[in-house]
Order: sequence, then C-alpha cells, then structure tokens
Amino acid sequence: MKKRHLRLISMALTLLLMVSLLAGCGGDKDEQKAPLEEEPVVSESEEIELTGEQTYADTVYIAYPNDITSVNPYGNTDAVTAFYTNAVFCNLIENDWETGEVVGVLAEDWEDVNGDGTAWRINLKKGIKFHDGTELDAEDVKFTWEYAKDINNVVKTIPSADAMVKDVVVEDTYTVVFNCNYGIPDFPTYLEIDILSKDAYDTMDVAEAEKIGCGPYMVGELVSGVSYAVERFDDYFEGIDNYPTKEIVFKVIYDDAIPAALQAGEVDYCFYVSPANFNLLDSDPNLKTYKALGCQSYYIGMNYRHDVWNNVEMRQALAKAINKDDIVNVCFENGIGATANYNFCVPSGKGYAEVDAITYDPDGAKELVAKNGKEGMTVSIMATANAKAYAEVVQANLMAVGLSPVIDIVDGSNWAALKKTGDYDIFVNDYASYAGALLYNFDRFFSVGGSSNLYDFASDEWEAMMADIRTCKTYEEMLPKFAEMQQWAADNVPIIPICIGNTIGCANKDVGGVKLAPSLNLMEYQTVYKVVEG
Amino acid sequence: MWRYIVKRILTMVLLIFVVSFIVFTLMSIAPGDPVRSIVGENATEEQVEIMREALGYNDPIIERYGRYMKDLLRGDFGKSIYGAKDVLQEYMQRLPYTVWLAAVSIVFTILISLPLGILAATKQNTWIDTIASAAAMCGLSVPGFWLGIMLMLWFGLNLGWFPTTGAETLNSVVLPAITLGVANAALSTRMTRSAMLDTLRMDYLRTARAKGVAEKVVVFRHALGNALIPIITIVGSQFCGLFGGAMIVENIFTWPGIGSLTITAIRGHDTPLATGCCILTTVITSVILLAIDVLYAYVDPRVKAKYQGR
Repeated sequence: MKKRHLRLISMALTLLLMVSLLAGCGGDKDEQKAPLEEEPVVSESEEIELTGEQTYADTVYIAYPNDITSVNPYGNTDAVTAFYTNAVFCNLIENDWETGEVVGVLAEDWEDVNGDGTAWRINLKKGIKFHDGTELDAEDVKFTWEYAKDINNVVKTIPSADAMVKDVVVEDTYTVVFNCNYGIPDFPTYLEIDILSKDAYDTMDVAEAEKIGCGPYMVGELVSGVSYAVERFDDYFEGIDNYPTKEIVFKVIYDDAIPAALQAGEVDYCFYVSPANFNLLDSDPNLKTYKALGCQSYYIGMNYRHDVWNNVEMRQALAKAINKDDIVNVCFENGIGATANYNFCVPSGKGYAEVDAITYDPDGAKELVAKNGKEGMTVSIMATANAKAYAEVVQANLMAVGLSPVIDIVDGSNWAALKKTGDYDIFVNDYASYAGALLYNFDRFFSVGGSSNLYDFASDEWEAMMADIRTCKTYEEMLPKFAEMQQWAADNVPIIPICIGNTIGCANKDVGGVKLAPSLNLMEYQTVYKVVEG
Repeated sequence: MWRYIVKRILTMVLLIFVVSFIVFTLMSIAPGDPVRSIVGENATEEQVEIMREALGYNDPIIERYGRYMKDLLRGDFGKSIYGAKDVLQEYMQRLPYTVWLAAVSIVFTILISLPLGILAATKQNTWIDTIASAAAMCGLSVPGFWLGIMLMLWFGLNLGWFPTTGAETLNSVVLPAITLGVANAALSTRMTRSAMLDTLRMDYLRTARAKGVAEKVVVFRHALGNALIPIITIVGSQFCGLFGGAMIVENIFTWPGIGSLTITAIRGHDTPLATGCCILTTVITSVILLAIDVLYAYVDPRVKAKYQGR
C-alpha cells in the first residue's frame, strides 16, 4: 500500500514538473502572432544619433547564423562573404540604393570616351591607402578585373566580364580605360566591384594578400565556428568620423538562438532576423526592430520544355489564378517576411518602373484555362520541403481554376540542377537576388542561354528588345526601354513575381548607426556603434 | 594484451576504409549539385563546367575515391570545397570544443548517476529509490532539444547565470553539458542501480556482512568495484556517442564543435570535409573504445587473465 502511494505521488510530481516546464514555453498568443497593422520600422525618436560627444563601446557584437568561409570578396558566393568583405574592400563605383544614383567610391569620375559606350575612362581618387600601407593606383583596377573574371582564380567571378570588355588599359597612375566589345551605355553600373591590391598579390601569400582591401575596416581575428571580426582602419581615405567602433565582432549564432542572445545582451545587433521572431523581439522594451524592403524578388517559374507554358494565355491564367496576398500571409509570417509585388524588378534596383500587371482574378483564369481546353490538366509543382506551405497555397489556387495540381517535394540542394532537368510544370518559392545592373539581370533570367534561365524561356520578342536596348547610346536613352521591358514581362509573364523579401534587423536600445540596406552586399553594419555614456 | 591491442588497431584501419568508402560514396551519389552551390546562380554554364573539372567531379566516383585515399595515406585530408580550408586543420580547431563539452558532460553524468544509482540500490523500495527511478525516467523521456531550449530560457535569459550561446567563456559549457548529460545520467543511474542490486545479492557480500564488515565497506569497496564493469561500459559508450551525437545540442547552443561542423559539411555537399570529419571521428571513437577495453583489464582481473591467456 505504502509503495503504491509513493508511486502515485512520484507520478503526480513528475506530471507537475512537466506541466510547469511546458507552461514556461507558452506566452501571450496574441503577442506572438499579432497581425502586422503598420509598418514596424524603427521610429526616428528611437534611433540614437551620432553626436561625437558620446562615449562609444570599443567593440560591437553582431549575431549572424553562418560562419565565414572566405575573406576574399571573390572567394565565395554566399551572403556572409559579401557583407563581411563589404567593410574590408571598396567598390570602384556603387549603385546607391537610397538615391538610385551611380556614385563613385574609389572612382573620382568617369567618361564615355567615344560617346557610344564602347570605351570608358575611369579616373581614380588619389591618396587612397590599402591596409598594407600601399597606395591604390590604376594597376590595381586592371589587376582586379583580370584576376576576378577568371574562374581558375576565384569562385565568384565578375559577371559577363569577358563578354563585355575587350581589354583594360592603364593610361597613367590614376586613370584606367575599359575598352568594350560593344556599346554599353550603362557600363558604370557593372563596376560595382571590390578592388584588390596588386602589390599584395605580388609580394605576399595569397592567403594574406586576399585580406588586403582599402575599406574602413581590416580583417580581424577569425575563430572557426565561433566568431569573425573586423578592426577599424584608421587611415581610411574618407576618415573615421562615421566609424566610432574600433572592432566589430560577428558571433556565429544559429537562427533559433538569435532572439535569446539579443535579449540576454550577448550581442548588440543582428541584421538577419527570422520573420518568425519579429513580434517577439519587437515587444521587448530593451530592443528595437528594423524592417526594410529587400532586394530578393520571389517568383514562380514555369518549365518551358513543356509546350503548354509557351502559350502566353496559359501563363496569364496562372498569373490570374495565384493569390499573392495569400502566399505572403501564409508563408511569410503575415507579411512581416515579404511584401506582395507585381514587377519582377525591385524598387531599390536601377531602372525600376511601375507596371500595369495581371492581378488575382480566378474567374478570368478559369476562362483562359477553359478556352485552351486545359481543364483538369495535371500541373506538377516542384517545391522544397521548407516551401511546402507555399506550394499548398498555389495548389489550392490552381484547383480553384480547374487545374489538377500535384506537389513534388524535392531536395533543395539539387534545386538548380532540377530546374534545368526536372520533369515539373512549375516551381515555387525561387528568388532572384536583384542587385546590380538591370540589363544584366534581365539578360540572365529571360534571354536564351542566360545563366539563370534554367527553365529554358525563349521569346523572339524579348530577344529583339534586348538587341534594341543594346543600341542605345546613353543610359537615359535606355531607361524608357527598361520600363517597356518590365511592362512586357508583366503582360507576358515569363515568370510570375510574387513578393519582395523584407530585410529585418534588431538592436539593443543603446545601439545606433544601423543602416538596413536592401541588398546583402551593401549591408552597412560598419557604421554601427553602441553608446556607453552620454 | 599487446596482441589484442594490435588486433584492434588493425580492425580500426579496416573500419576507416569502410567508413570512408561509405561516406564518400553516399556524399557523391546524394542528390544535389555542389558545384552550382559553389559558383552561385550568376555563373555561366562554361564556368560551372570549369569548376566541376577543377574539383574532379567529372571523374567516376571510384577514381575520385582512390585519389582521396591516396592523399589520405599521406595525411592529406583535402580541402573544404567552400573557401578551400584544410580539412584536418578545420577539424582540429573544432575538436577541443567537443572534447571539453563531452568531458564536462560525462563528469556531470558520473556525479549524478553514481551516487543516485548507489543510493537507489541500497535503499531499494523506499521513497528514495522511487524518486531516483522517477527522476531517471524523466531524464530519459525529456527530449534533449526541448530541455536545451528550456535551460537556455531559464538559466540564460531569465536568470542570466550562463550565456545562452557560444563557447567564449568558461561557463558557456554548463548548459549544453547539462542538456547532454541529463539523458546519459538517467541511463547510467538505472544501470548503476541494477548493477549494484545484482552485486549486493551475491553470496560473498552476504558472507562479508555475516563476518561483521561495515556496510559502507561492503557497498563501496566490495560491491561497487564489481558493479563498475557495466557502468564503465555504458559511460564509455556515452562518451564516444558525444563525439558524433551532440549535433542537435551543438546547434541549439551554437557550440562550435565537430558535430556542427559535420552537419554543415553534409548540408553543403562538402564531400572532403564531411568524409574527413567522419573518418577522424571514427578514429577518435575507436581509440576511446580501445582505451575502455584496456581499462577493463585493470578494473577486472578476470579480463586481464583472459587477455594473458591464463
């Protein structure tokens, strides 16, 4: 009897322990999943201005979920390499995402030598020092172009370098000329390239040389799997007034642990916050959250090896059938993670134009499907496991217009290869990191043989437009043609734009200088600071 | 004894060949195109092809494996396909973190399970035994990932006693070690209890008690010594398991050990890094298991006698 009682008591205690621990997992449901009513960007009153009279922490800690694999800006194609090297290296020219202007960074100015885009003279700023103390000159630009265009030297090559440029000629110490194979009126927009030091590569081991840039920060301590740091370069050519932090340390913290690390004060800032954690962090009085429209354009693509999708009406039927708002609400944390979009281009990209696009119209879609005699047609939807919910929304949308969609979950690591070879009809949740020159992005996605055109889209009309825009003599001349091309893409739907990913950040209240740039390779964390007094 | 050790080392060599072949082959035939991942979406087909050729991906698997093993015999584990980092160097940078975590975790396991198991056995069918058994049941049933998150929230975030992530400070190890140690401690407690109960019922202990030997001496000197054999087996296996099996906990606490390194390599289809990690982990595990077997001989004279052919 006594033993029985003891067992009952111990079972009750165990249950009590489990329940109390489980209770700790809970929280206010409304607080966790509140719908997004207004734009949750940080207010100006919350932002700490850099006055110069405050005392700043020497070190700021930033959380990021991935370790760095290369400190060479051309050594890897991943995001972490791009943003890390962005502080260490400087571009020749930059596409300013705020103003839409092309601005010189290392370049003082540039000119179209022949007036037809076939040759471009770039004049460099003088007195710019690399981290090893040597001075930047035209030879560094020539060296960088030739070194970084070759896949035998680097992993991330300068896009279309050989196709565009015949040769690079050093005219004098600070002047370099790019001779193009054909007229490229928007050529400066292609010069968003990090400049390497030729002297460093000539005199050091590659492992050391690839660390030498001329940005506001130098490569700091790298501890595999733990952290990677940058240290301020006090001889930075634009001065260090805007860079009060001496050292910025990136701590490798996996996605799910980032909120706890921010709340515990173990890190000061994170510019990569999962939308699922947004409300949790936004409700914390010690933190402030940031949100900005990113440069990732999410889209649904079709397999043009299946003849049915070469019929523009069937593509339009799909565009009408798919409810973008549903996808954004169901799959992107109620709109925190993305904003519905109708143009494949993103507003922060050069040459973006508003388009008159096909909107959600299931009745119209049904009519087009019936008109083409495709009622009940099986549509195979290729998706990765993490996009299952996305695929299910699309499946429901397509069923509502009389099609018979089936979902095929595939391995994400094989995604690119499957787009090229797989026997699917449409694929969902793919995205384009939309940065850089517009013509380049158009070319790679929609032109025959384009590097991202793995679904084999081909259109004579499009090719004619591409040929036409290449005859332009000036960039201004190109802009209206860009707008026409965007409208053509909206009408002819070679792909179906769905939404633009939002970039989300979070910082402690005493942190300032945060710039949530829409492009990963422009993530300007280097201006971040932490006020410790004042 | 030496003959046994040499035999085990030869088995280990064979095991390395088998493991390397299986891992290398599985990584190579797994769906996915690592070359595309490396060069990114902007690369042209021509560039993809050049990179594929440079990495040897166009050669048959068996040829690539042969090349890999040839390099391996020279001590060259190759380079990671992302960032071209030396595999052995990368592994060795992460190994101390895993060793430290496993060691602290196993100390926690022993400190909890040994006294609790002994107490439960000596106080069989009392409330102490019931609570110890219930605690062991809880420890075994609670999923590690859930416990880790709860510990992180309570002791890291709410109380602020320990860091929630990373491995920079000495106390960073506490939460992941406890998370890993709880299930191990629960199992070891049950093993210790049952081994002790078996031993305590032996005739020689009854004789000792009849001769008036103090209970403490009976338990700690005569019973525990004999009960240690299965306990060493289980604790040793748990220690080995922590080298390759701490991946989930390493992920929760962002612990930079070999578990998270291996997972990253597998996810990225990084064949040299994944194969290298598996081979090195196999070697370490085999060495530890061998050490445990040798330890048996010192704890149990019967085993030593067997090795010596007596």
